[in-house]
Amino acid sequence: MHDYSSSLLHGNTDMLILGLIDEMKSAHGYQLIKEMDRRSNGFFRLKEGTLYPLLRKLENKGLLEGKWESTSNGPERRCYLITNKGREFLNYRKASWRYFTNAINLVFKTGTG
Amino acid sequence: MMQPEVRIYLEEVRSHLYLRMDIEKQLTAELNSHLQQKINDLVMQGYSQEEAIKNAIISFGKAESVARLLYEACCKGSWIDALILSFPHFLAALVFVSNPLHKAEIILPIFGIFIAVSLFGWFRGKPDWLYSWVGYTMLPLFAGGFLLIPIVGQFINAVFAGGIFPPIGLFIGVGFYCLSAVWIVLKLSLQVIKRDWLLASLMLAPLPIIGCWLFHIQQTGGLFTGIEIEYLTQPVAQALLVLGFTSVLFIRLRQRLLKAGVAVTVLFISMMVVGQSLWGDVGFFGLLGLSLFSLLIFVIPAITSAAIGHGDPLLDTP
Repeated sequence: MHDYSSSLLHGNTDMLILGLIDEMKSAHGYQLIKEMDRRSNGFFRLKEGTLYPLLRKLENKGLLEGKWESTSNGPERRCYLITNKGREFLNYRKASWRYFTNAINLVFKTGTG
Repeated sequence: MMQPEVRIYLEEVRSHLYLRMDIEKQLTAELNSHLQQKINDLVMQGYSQEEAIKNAIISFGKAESVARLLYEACCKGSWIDALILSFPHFLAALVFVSNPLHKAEIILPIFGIFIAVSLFGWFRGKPDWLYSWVGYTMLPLFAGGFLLIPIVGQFINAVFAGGIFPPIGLFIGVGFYCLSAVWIVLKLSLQVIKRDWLLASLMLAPLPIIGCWLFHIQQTGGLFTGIEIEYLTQPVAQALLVLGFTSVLFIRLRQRLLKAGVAVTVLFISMMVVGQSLWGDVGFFGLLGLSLFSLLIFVIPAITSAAIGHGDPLLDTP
């Protein structure tokens, strides 16, 4: 991924993760990586090693809740659910993102118009 | 069943985590669950089992980097943790500044509190705030050793310079006390070092500060000889107060290197201040000795940690 895209992703990973979990209702780490990859056509490839620290940070902030879930053929999985606080934070981040992209679009429109 | 390659990788991650055992087990179980799913998917895509394991581990990244990120995500304690961690330092500073050191009715209940809180924390998951309390619980053993120095000195004098031997019963008692105290301090310290050597250093940090004071008291005639110790307790109280504020910073910081840097610097400065206040101008070798003494509080736990390792072996289940 290009450096610029990488830094854009870095600043918004928490919003993407919270948004995905909110839509999926409940998800574990591996699911999140696959889903992010699928939905962005491979553009957002989260590194496994950075996902779990981020999930823990969001959980410690009370934005996510982690629960162990047993599986029929393998070790237990830790699934994450969004909390009310997480949903509020997500809505705030989404609104900020919309303002930001609108402002950028306006600047470009003015510049080229 | 965990594959040997996965086990080695997860053991390496855990050896750099320095978190509470239950959190470490949860984290490694979560990483294992992810690795197993990825390995299964890769095998289904046509990879051999060996290739799948190798690729799954590579995609996670270097174990040390993963552990560092996980540590930074999980190590930060709450303000309440910070307050509980720093409280024994403030309590000890208060003891020194109000100078009730001759009053057993004040000192004994305070040590009772130290012991009670330490036992409570020890059997309740060993949270990070526990270790400063454990440090002060060991203080009476440490102080007892200092107070017995004259008897040890008398024995050494008797052996090497033909002086009078102390009474044999007293000598056996002192020997038994010293051995038991060393055994308890070592046993506790090793357990804490196994958890995190930096926490062990912070736990032991008040000992050299108070040790300097005790040493000075011994030099000037002993604790129970009625010397004026009010003035001498002020720098110790100040150093313990600074240690209390450092503990708050320590538990709130995320970067391990920064934590270690802050702790080493503060202990170093505290030792200098206490040393200068007690002995006046200590000179170059005095400064060197004090700096080495404060550095040893960090170097010995770090070396011991490297030698004995961190935590128990990984199990298959979380």
